[in-house]
Amino acid sequence: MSGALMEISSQERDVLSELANIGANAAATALAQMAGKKVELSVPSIQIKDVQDVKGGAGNLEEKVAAVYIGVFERNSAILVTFPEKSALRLVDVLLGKKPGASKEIRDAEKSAFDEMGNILVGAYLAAIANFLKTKIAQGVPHSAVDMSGALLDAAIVQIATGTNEVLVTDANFSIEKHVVGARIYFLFEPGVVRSLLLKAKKI
Amino acid sequence: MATVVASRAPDVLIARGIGSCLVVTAYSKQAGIGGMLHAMLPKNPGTDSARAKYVDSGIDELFSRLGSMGVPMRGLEVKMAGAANMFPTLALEKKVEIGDRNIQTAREKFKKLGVFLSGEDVGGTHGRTITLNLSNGRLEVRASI
Repeated sequence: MSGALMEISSQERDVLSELANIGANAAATALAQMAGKKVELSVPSIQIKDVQDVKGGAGNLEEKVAAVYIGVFERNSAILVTFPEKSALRLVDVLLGKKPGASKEIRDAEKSAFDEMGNILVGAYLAAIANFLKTKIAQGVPHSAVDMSGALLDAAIVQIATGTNEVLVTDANFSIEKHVVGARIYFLFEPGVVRSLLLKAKKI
Repeated sequence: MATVVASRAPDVLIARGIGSCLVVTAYSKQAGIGGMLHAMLPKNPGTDSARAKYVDSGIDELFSRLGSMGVPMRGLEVKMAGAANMFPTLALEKKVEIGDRNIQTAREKFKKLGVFLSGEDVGGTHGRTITLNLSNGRLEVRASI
């Protein structure tokens, strides 16, 4: 099964990048609405990596990040979004209407705000893509944790590792209130999901 | 992820940011040779040639690699670390916890092989960075939180 990394044409890669863009823009709009602030966004292109290599390109594996894991489609697909801890705290400050720097740690109140934000942003992201493809994408409840990025990533990957070989990764850099937030989004999809999304995109 | 690496002193083997994956190390003081398995899932369904992806076949792979470097299983110092439950609410929802299952599978495997662990630091809910120093066999486990 390894070595069966999905091969897609550059055209199909463009389609995936387009979907990522559509999703990210919807998420940015939702964030702006939640926060009552302007959000500016830049989304680099999407990468496809072998499950076993994902950690290799994930930057500093020991960086402390806040991550939210949301199951999508069927049981074995999920989205993991990670934010450097400082960025997550800044976002929580904005959402809770606190002064920047007020939140020092993601505990109860901050965790609820972070979970809810994750829920809404991923929801907006997926809804935009589903709408564009004229399909439905089911979404589970958010699960969050704060720890080493590598540890959270591997815990998310093992949830789907029995089924899949590839992970789509994209970064979404956005700025809110002059603070730049670097979010990384991992699409942990069951085999065939990406293919079927591409097929649906062809029919648009 | 899903790897077995083996080397000799004075190399240092490091696995950074380990969550629910299980790391198993084996070291021969006499030979100054050691190896590290970084496994993701408990049991190989039998059809997957990526042996190091699974705890059971990965442990076999680790000992086999060291064996091919002239180091037999007997006399190896074997330890394990990692296999945390990083998203506790997710484990509750799915009713299965991969970290725990990785640990259980490793224990069963060691029992079958007659291997006694010299040390372990597994479970919990925190990520770990695991370092095996091949000059002295010392295993260092560091958590960020």
